[in-house]
This record gives sequence, structure tokens and C-alpha cells, in this order.
Amino acid sequence: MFTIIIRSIIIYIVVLFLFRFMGKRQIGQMQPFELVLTLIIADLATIPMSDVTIPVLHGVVPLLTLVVAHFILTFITRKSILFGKFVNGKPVIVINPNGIDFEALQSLNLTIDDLFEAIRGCNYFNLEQISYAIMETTGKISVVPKMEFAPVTCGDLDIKLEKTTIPITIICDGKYLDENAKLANVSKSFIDDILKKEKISKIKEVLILTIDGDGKAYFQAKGKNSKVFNVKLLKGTGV
Amino acid sequence: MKKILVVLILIIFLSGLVIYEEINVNNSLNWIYEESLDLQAYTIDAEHINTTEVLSRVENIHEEWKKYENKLCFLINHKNIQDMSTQLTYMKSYVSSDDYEDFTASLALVVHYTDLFRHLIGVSVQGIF
Repeated sequence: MFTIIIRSIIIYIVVLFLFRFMGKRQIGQMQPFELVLTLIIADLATIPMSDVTIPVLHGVVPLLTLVVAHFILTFITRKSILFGKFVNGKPVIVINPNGIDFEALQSLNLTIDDLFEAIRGCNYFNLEQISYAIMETTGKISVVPKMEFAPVTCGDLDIKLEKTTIPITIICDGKYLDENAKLANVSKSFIDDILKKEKISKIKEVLILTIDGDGKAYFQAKGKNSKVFNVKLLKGTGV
Repeated sequence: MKKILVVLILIIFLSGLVIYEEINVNNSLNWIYEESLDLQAYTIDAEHINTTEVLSRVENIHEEWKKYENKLCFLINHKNIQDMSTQLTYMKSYVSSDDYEDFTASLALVVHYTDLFRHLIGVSVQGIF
């Protein structure tokens, strides 16, 4: 039993390293060869986990080989457009201003129902609203709406907005994130002042504290309700 | 740059593993295979089998096998290794009890296993497909 536990941990670490190495895209939208790789990895990993007669190397070596093969394949795909098209295929326009391109649908082995389902997933329920629909190589459909049906933007209404900022997490689950504080250009004493105002004595008691470039802070202590308040930031603070 | 380095390390590791396997497994199995074949030829051809000599040779093979067993565990299915160890143990007891019919059968299995391992480990078209 102990052997199975150790083997499982080893294989788990190897698979973790594998997915970490291959990048976030592996978990998100996958190209065909990435999907194949994911399926194979799942199978390979389980073989030596439970069968103690199979050497662990018989599971680890194929996984590592796939990492190398994946790296080489993605490298060539990046360098050669032709090879990339051969491996991944290319995006196909299935709806254009003239309507549905039935030949394109047939080449993709899609039915009209499949197309409607994908379009509804993009929150468009009427073909009249769509200018272009593109089937991506990942199997997802991207929709370009007609101008009169496109969502309104601040630019359309001529509304002037301040620079977009993102909130930066300064404290997370009781831990002070020094690197993020440097990014946000806030000092430890600045944070201590905030905590003093909120009557918090230790950083450990804080669940989350984020600050954005406009000086808006989101704060929640452990076991208490969240608060939003403004803080006075120095010039050049925030992202 | 970091990824390229990791991939290079992996390639070196995998190549090293292949070379290690080729050298170590071939060295160990070749000797046992040749000795087993010799012993097989001796027991078939000899009119009167010298029990002491056969027992000594079987023990030699067994000792040699025990030396390589720990290394081969990383590369060969443990069940196959178990089968081989079992047959070698049987061989010793068959010789001790002058049961040469069963001894010959076990020896044939040992020859078969070592030959099988060499084919499994070695690079061949049949092995790939």
C-alpha cells in the first residue's frame, strides 16, 4: 500500500510539472495536438500508479518524452506558418455578410444546429445580428456582430474615462505580498496605517486587501464583512 | 530560454537512460543467457550428469542474477523478474533432488526469459510495432 502511495505521489508530481511546463493554454482552449496530449497523459499516468509490478520509469519516461515532443512541435508550429496550419488547421468563416457558408460548415462536419448552439453560446440569438462567425482551430466560434447590433462602448457615447487600473492584492489570507506592494508603490507603513484605521492589530487577521490605481481599497478581515473605502495614494502609485 | 534548458536536460536524461539500459541489461542478460544455454547443452548431451558441477553452475547463475536483479527492477516488469527468480530457485531444488526432467523444463524457461528480456529491452522493429 505504501508503495502505491509513493508511486502516486511521484506520478502526480511529474504530471503537474508537465502541465505547468506546457502552459496555461493546455488547460484552457486547446489545439488538437494539445487535446491529444492531455488525453494520453491521463492514461499514461494511471498505469504505473496502481500496478506495482510495472516499474515507475515505464510511466515517467513516456510522459517526459511527450513533454519533449510537445515542445519541439510547438516550436516548429511557431516558426513555420505552413506547419502550424497542417497541425492545427486554420480558422474558417462559417457566416459572412451573405449568410451561412454551407460548404464551410460541411468541410467542418458541422450541422446548422451545431452552429446555432455555438452562436447562442456567444449570446447572439438571431442570425440577422451577425456579420461574421468564425470557427477557430480550438473549435470555439467567434462572432463579429453587425454594427447596429454591437454593444455600445464609452467611445460611442463620447464619455471620457480615467485611465484603467487593476486592483492589486496587497494582503492575501493573512500574508503580506511584498512584491505586489512594490508594484503598487505602497509602503508597509501605509498598509499599517490602513489596518490601524480598521482596528486590526495583525496582518494575519486580514483575509484580503486590494488597492487599485484610483485609490479604491477592498478590505475584508477574517470572520467579518467586506468594506470598500478610498485611500490617499501618492503620485505614481498603482498600475 | 528556461524551457529550452529544461527540454535539453530531459533529452540528456532520456538518452542517458536508453544507454544505461542498453549497456547494463545487455551485459547482465547476455552472460546469464550464454551460461544457461551452455548448461542446457551439457545436460542434454552428457551421458552421466555430474550433480555437483550442475549445482555449482546453477548457483553461479543465481548469484549473478541476484546481482543484476536490483538494477533490472527499474527497467523490467517486476512480475517477469519474479518469474525468473522463481525458476532459478526451482532449478536448484530440482538438481538437489536429482529431478532432471523438471530441471530441464525450468532451465528452458530461464533461457526463454533471458532471451525475451533481451528482445524487450533491445531496439527492434518488432519491439516498436
